[in-house]
Amino acid sequence: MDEYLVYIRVDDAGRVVDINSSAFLQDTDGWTQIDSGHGDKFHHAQGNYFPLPLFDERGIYRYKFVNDQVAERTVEEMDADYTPPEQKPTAEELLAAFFGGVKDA
Amino acid sequence: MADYTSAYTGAQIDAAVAKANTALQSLPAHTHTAAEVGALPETYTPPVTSVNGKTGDVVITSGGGAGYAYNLLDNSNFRNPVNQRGVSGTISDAGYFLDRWKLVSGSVSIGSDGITLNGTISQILEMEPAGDVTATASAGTASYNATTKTYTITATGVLITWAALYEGSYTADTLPPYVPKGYAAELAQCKRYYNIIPYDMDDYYVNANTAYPSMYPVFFPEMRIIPTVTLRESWNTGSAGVSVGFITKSSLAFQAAATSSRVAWHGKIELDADL
Repeated sequence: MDEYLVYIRVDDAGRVVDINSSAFLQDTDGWTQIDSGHGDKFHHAQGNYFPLPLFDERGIYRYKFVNDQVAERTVEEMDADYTPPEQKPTAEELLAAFFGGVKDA
Repeated sequence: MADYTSAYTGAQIDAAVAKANTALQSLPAHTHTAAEVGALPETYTPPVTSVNGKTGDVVITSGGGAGYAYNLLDNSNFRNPVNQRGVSGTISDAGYFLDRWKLVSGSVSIGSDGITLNGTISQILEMEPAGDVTATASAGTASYNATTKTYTITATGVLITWAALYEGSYTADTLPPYVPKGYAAELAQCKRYYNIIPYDMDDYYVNANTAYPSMYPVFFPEMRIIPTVTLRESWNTGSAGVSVGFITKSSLAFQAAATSSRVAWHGKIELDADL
């Protein structure tokens, strides 16, 4: 049975932005090996190595690489990456503002 | 037509017909035998000279106990194989070539009438078969390793048209004839392990803010595990950063982040869940 090496790519902030295995990486320049082993967890590491997806439901990276160890980021760390979408007024709010202006005139 | 005048009167003719009827009805009933009319017997057994090309005493068994021989291999008909990777010619790099088949060593040539193997190819089974199995192939030496769940053929420059790993124990005399499962059935089975999806996302409007990429769902037949995704033959316009976000065994979300609101992306999404 083949042995596969697991690699991650990390951004400047130490967030894990990609993961894959030696079965699919032709060039590992810029990647860091974190593990090796047999079976789907290692062979198909991209979607099967970490217990949770690489992103949360907001698209925020879930893992970090600190002191040569992968760990889950804290809620505070992840929240800090999140910028809520700009809230635009609804049609009702626009109408209300318009008629409110008319009434005040 | 010339006029015809009968020599008999109408009354004489009627009387003659009535007499003939009376004579016919007085004849005794009679049933002909099959032999008298030349019919074949109800059961007919032509002489048997061979069964599936075997002569002499032929033993007929029920194989794996299910009444038929089940071939555990996928994509076993090399005359019409599933080839989603689109390989051709002679392959000498170890790894997957035809769907589900891996070149272990040597080389293999893809032909219209089969594969010519000069080395070893293998197929890894997902599940361990229950009970005995019999490895065979149209040519070469076939074997099965239960520990690694691996079927292997080794050959020296011979044409191979099919491979089989049957449930049950067979000898050379009792091996069933090879029956292909059919291309559509093979393709469906192969897509559990590997799938390649052409994708043309042309002139789409996306959120012009890299912080909020637009997501496009892609659905596919359920795979064995969450597949490894690779984008192939990809090109894009509109400063699009295209990547794959969330993925399950049967769907993925395609992310297109752009600094402008128009994007085009063309390519192939390769999904690999092979063993």
